[in-house]
Amino acid sequence: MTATAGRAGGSALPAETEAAIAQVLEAADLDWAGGREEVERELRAHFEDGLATGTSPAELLRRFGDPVATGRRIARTRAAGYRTGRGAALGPRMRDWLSEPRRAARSLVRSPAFSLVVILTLALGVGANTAVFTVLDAVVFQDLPYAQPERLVRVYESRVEDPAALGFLRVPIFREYRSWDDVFESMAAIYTYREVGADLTDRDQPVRVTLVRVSAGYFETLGVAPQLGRTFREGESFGPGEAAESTGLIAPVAVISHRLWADHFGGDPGLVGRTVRLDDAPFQVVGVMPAGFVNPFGPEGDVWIPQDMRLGGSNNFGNSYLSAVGRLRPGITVAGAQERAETLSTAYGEREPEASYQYPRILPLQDDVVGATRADALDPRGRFPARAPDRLSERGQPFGCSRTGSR
Amino acid sequence: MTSWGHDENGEAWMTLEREWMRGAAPLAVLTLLERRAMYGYELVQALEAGSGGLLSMGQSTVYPLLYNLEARGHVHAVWREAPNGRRRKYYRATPAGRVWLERQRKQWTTLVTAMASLGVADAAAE
Repeated sequence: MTATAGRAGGSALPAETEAAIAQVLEAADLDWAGGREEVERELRAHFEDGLATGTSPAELLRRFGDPVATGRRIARTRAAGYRTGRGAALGPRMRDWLSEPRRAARSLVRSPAFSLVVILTLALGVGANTAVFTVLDAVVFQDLPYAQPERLVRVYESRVEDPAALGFLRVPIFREYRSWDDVFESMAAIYTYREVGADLTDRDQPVRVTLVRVSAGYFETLGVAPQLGRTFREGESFGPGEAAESTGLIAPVAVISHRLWADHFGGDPGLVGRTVRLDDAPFQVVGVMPAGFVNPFGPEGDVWIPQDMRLGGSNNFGNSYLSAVGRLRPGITVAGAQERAETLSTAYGEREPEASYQYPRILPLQDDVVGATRADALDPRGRFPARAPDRLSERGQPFGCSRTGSR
Repeated sequence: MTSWGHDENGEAWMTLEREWMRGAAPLAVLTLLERRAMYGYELVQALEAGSGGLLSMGQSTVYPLLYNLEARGHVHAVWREAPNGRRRKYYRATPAGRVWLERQRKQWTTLVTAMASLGVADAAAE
């Protein structure tokens, strides 16, 4: 610190007295301009008055005493509550608020290497905290993006001999569960057994899209309406008629995602009703979902097509391949639904021998979707989910497989 | 420690132990500022002259002391022009400072009376 730095008015003093003032100010470490300036002005006045009496600078300094000790006393006094300058009109706390950032800024400027370390450390800390909060926000705090998500459940098929196992549903079993309208307001199937892709070939260059098969009532169960057009009709998924031995479609219709509509079709409002080609097969676009719609589990879809839910063919008791989401009737709790479903399941098993020893397991959809991820996110040991929420949760791939080949 | 001696002119001097000075200095400063407002150097000179040099502490010591009294609300400071035409920071005792000073005076009086009763004052004078 130099004697002239921040000089607070007055005439120039002998160098040794300037140095003494500088020592006081340095030791006092006054941390805001007003206080520092005021003390400096006062000390300068002191030496001016002393010199005016004809006292030599050396004698003045001898009488003045130890400047460093004086500075330290001023610092202690300040710490005890003394403030001067523009901070004096403010309360002590407000003055602290003003002074501490200035003190910090001066310290950082004095030590650039240390400052760099501090800034990098803060940046890393802020970044890590942001990442953690982003995960927690997505996994823990945010509700699922569906209407009345607390009424949504994931429905598994379980077995009496292994209650802990959660399995894919067979089509006949699914249809039975779906008919329990004192439990479910609606219920829908989604094919998550395997991720399916298709080439969108309506342009010169094919575009690979993710194809998701869902039953009629899927979007309605989630409570999300299409932005354009419609969703699947009952007959496009449940018949009439019987299913074939191999994968088939009752109706070649498709609902597409907002992203595909915007990016590939340029947000064309006239797209609904037109035919597009998926793996060279024609599909009529009947609807466009709103931006942000995602499947609660399974792949993130670009195109949804109706799952053949008719009985017969490969849709038999030997083929477990469906995932299911249900919406409970208003007023029905998950526990109540589970209890009622077990009773109905027992009765069903008595009249349908191939349905014996099964019963549904009903879990809140929120817990099912984020359960494992939530546990990871809250794990104090710092294990982190790879993405959040993981739509293909551990429960997203239940036990069970098709005896006749997956569909 | 307290010490006695003579300066180069043969005049007697004595310095007080730090603890004595710590107790006496604020009382002495506030007593002077109760009479009239003073700025720093003026106050230093008045202390030296008024105490026969006994309270001629390092002159710089008076500033932290004044800041402390100001922080406690016992003195109020204002910058104004001094007789020499320059602006100086004048300190004066506040009403709260006067109340505090009165209490301190009573304590000092009581202490001195008690010490005198014990013969301490007489012994010190000998």
